[in-house]
Amino acid sequence: MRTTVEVGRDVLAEKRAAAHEFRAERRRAGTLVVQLMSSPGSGKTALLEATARAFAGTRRMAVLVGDLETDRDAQRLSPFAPAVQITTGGACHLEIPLVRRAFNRLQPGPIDFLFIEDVGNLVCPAAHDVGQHVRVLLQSVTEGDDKAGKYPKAFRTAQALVISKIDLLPHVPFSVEAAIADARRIQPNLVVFALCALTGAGVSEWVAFLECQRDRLLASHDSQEVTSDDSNSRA
Amino acid sequence: MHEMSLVEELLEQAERIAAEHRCQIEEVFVSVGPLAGVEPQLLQSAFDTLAPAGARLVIDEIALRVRCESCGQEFEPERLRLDCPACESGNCKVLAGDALMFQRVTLIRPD
Repeated sequence: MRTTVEVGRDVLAEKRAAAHEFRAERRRAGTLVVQLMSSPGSGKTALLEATARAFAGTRRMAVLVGDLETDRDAQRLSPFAPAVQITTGGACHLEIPLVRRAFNRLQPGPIDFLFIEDVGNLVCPAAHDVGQHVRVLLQSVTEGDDKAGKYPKAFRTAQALVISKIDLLPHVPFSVEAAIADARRIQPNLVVFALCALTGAGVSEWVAFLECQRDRLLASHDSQEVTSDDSNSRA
Repeated sequence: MHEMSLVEELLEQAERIAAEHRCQIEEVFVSVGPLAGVEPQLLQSAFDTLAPAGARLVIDEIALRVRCESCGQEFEPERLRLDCPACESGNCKVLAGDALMFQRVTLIRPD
């Protein structure tokens, strides 16, 4: 006997529902969740160090950081903020169950910002909702200004782009204008920052953006939650 | 290669349906669009590795469909350029082609 069962649903719908729940819980706790996504070596951890320095004494933040192996990033960040390493053991991206488990392990207490530093990869993390309110992409000037067209899903689902390592601009053939134009062809509403985490140039604008996103989130209600999962960022 | 984890998720859902019907999975039908972030060949080989013996995966590769929210034009973008070909607005909504969709499953009852 043969039966056909119609499903007609996104394979990731259940995980997305779990991510929505995490997102709503964090909002009620007054925490903005920011996912950072980039190629390896674009400066995600350096940006978080600079962010923590800027927030020192005024804002509480915590970090969940994903890598295939080692806890090097969590060690780098721990002088600045509570940080838990998620070692994926080879998996190329974070998913909501890993995020929730790491968050429970961290038990950061009341925090204003939770950063989720995804595995360095511009492909797979873009397909997974990790419970973030804001998805931020980093693109360093040493990577070339043509990444957006090559990795459309990552750029399509992001709300902000951070162009990092701008202190190296005199030494590399990178056009900030071309990078922004390429990115906005894919995602017209992308907010863009150009900064250098080492010198601190541009960091204050980035921090102001985070504050503004958090204010917006806290002013919203369950029904009009600021979300950044795929289905919402399509619009 | 996240196709492995996508297939794990897909099989978990398909096997739940099969268990409810006290059946085995015969064929799983999915559709994949160009913005799904999924490589069909890798999906197929992940399925062949993880699925129970006898189960097959059928992949329908669909086009990206977009609607311009400014002028209402519906189009299939070339080379993933998502701005409207009619009015050049960037305010466009993806209607289909940005997800891995589990469409249906056929089940077979071993007698």
